Amino acid sequence: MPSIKLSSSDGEVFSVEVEIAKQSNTIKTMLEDLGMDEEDDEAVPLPNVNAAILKRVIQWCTYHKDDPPPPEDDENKEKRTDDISSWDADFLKVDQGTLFELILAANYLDIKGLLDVTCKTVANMIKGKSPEEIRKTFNIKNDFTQAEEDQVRRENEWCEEK
Amino acid sequence: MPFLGRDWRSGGDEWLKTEKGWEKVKIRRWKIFENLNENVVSRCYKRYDPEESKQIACTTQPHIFIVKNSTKEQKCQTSLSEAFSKLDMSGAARDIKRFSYVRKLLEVIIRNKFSSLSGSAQRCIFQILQETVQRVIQTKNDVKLMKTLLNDTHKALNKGKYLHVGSRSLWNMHLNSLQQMMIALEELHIDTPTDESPSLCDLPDDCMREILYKLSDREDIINLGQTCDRTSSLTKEDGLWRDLCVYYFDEVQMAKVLKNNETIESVRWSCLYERLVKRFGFKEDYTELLNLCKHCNALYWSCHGHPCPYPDLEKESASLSPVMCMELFCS
Repeated sequence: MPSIKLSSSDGEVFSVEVEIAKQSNTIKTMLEDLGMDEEDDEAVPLPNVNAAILKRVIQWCTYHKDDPPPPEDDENKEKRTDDISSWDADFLKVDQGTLFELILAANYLDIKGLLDVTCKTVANMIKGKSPEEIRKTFNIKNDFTQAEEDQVRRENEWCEEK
Repeated sequence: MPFLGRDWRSGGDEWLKTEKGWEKVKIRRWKIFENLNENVVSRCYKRYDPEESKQIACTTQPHIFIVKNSTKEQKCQTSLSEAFSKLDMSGAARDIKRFSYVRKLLEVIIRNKFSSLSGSAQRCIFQILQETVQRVIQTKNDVKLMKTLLNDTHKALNKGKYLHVGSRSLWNMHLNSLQQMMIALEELHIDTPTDESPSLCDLPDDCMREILYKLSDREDIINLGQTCDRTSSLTKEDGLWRDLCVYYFDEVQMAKVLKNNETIESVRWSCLYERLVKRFGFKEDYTELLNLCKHCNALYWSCHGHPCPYPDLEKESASLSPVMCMELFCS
């Protein structure tokens, strides 16, 4: 099985099967466009991903290597947020910092499945919470003045009542 | 072979006293076999691969062949407690995919039929309720929904105080355990974040949008929009609301909510979505449903598959919404 070397932002090098790495569209296009040789010993630099996160991303990709490719059309995006396999649910039992970093890495590496499942997890944490609870959960600073906050609330009253 | 009675081949309709209360011999027998099977399977797994002892949670395919009744009053003869334990409802409550279905099923049963359920069915419902509360406490998600459900249960218990089926002590036991669940949920609180803890606002706009597009309840989106300036502007984007309208409703429905001389272009998508939800209701959408096979009357979870050996029969199955499932067992 041909493999490829990926180098994280902190210089650690991981050797991954090409088929697994190709789940990342970023790496896939890089390999196709640049025509990297399989015998090439040079590692692909991934300056936005650190070793700990890259390790997790590779773990996810390895588990999901036989999955069918995700549908292309963006029109019918999945709205169900509980459609998470039990393996993924276990995989994502991590602290919030790691979860956010996984989202960033999935976005940068363009791995649709991983981005999907991580965003679903965050969406599940938002559901059914009051604004104050959301702020507390996600450490969001309230940058509204009192007047602005009132205005936002008024804007969001039922449209019909305006 | 465990010894179960004078004649273990009996119909199983006798009652047996266990440490958890009275139980039908039929269900008890099934539980014992299930337990034996599980033990044997897990031992085999362990011998085969001592490292992977975690992956054996689901070794069986939960299903039940229900006995249909043709009378108008009662649609099926199989009891609710038997069906729910064979369908592994408690396990389903722990499963993220099936949680929302189980929660909704509990909600409709508790709101409409709780006091007319048999004692063992009541106990079964409470057991599942306890599992769902456990899950909510573990994940800290869906707290609000769970609180509403517990309040509904409280109302149902008060309403049925003098007209329920089953003993008074059982009813009081339900009240006690409900109170404990309510206290446990009240005590659940979100830790105050420190300055170092990661913030959602550290994510770039396209990641935030990706998360926003996963939400579908208007209230959730608006609540998020009220947290800070940036989320506020992101939640006002038209594309988000347009997407929701198009995903949940069709053009005919959209045309119906337009007022005189309004066109789709002239109305803001967020307003349109609000009107659509008001008029047509929120579309229920479950990841996993219970299915009923028309050939063999097997009730099964779609994720665990059809129990009969003819895979092409799967097309003949009808999926049951929580309300339909309730109607099947509680008449």
